[in-house]
Amino acid sequence: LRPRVDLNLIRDSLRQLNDSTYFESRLHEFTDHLVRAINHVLASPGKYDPRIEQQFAILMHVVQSHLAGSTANEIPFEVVYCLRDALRRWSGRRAAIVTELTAAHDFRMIPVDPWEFIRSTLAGYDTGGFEQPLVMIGVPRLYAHKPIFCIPLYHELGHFVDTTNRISEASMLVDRSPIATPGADELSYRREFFADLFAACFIGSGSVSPLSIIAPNVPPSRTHPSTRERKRVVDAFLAGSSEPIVTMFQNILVRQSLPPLQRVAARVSVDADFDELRTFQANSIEEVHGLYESAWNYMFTAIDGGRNPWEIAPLTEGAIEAISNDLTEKSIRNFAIRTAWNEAATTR
Amino acid sequence: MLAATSPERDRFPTLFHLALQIVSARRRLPDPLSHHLTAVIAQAWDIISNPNAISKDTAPEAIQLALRLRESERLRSAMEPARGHMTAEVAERLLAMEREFETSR
Repeated sequence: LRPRVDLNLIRDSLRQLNDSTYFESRLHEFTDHLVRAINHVLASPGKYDPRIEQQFAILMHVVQSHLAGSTANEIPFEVVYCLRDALRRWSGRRAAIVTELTAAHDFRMIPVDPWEFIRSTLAGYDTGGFEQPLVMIGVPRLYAHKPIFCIPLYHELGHFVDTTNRISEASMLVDRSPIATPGADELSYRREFFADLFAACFIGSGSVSPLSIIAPNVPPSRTHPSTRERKRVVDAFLAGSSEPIVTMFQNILVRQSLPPLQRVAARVSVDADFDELRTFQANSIEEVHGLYESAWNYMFTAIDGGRNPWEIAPLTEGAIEAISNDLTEKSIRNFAIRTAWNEAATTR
Repeated sequence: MLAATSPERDRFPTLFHLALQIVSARRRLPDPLSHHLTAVIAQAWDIISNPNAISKDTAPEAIQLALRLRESERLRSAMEPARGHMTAEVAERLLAMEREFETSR
């Protein structure tokens, strides 16, 4: 409809969201700032170009729809907890993360930065230094509380970091040697390799493990390298071997003053604890990231190798999956609670 | 992971696109958007001639635009007159080219 009419509707909806019982507390501040910006535009008829008002209304509508998806008390807290740490390391800005449980099978991540737009277009509005971008994470409902299956979200976060900073595009300007197969989309290939490497920093070989299940032996396509090639590059990176694709990205990251690609995840093993149906006690957030790779290997080793340390009869794949994912989820949550407790205790 | 990333390559960066729309309508740009447009264009040309100039101060939109410019001789020619100052005529031409890119894919 008309932008100013829509803005009224969007503002009212945002106010209602802010009153919702299940709305995450850290999103209240974000929403308050949005309402202030909308009020500013509504109180200034004729001040801004109609094209700016129209684009602003579209942007606010997108943000409002993402926020609306986060009101249900179904947020996969543990996964978001880990992603928030990964994002913090790559962005000087805190980000507001919202989640949406989807009926689809794919994971997705949609970044929206209303503040850059507001700063650049609403000349008479002061954001007061508030500048958190919004990251919307779409998680298949089926996997909402299955953290091991949410591993692809680290890959999606890699795409977010890449497109926010235009890392792959910059690499194409600096290093013109093609890495895609002839006729394929060079930029898409670079983006996939970067996202794989980014994920490998946090979850090691778990970065490409899902591919061996959902896309084994897949040849190169127009947009994606072959599964074999993706695994080769990640393996070389994790082994510390010389790999031109890794070197290419490291050179760009230095230029852009971004962190280098390096392993963040600590090497841990959940085997002994999970065998005893105990949670794994992580001593650092780096060990929490490392937990995913170990839990993934634990679960599939049990499924494929028929391990039954719990002496459950009959032991089904579903039971192994449930035990592995539950223990992983609780291990992450325990760490988050202990950390919050310790922080509260030391800041008193 | 298996799905292709968004087909945003066929479009200009958001703020750049908005600025072109306003300039082509012969309306005045807000100061911050005007500064943004000038900086993005200047940085994009710099990067094309010297990619090593990419630094932490380079606007991501400038990198995006530079790649588009490097890939298209036609786009470079169309933008050349707007190196110092974007005019309504150039903005109109660029927006028309963008529509062409989008429909030709």
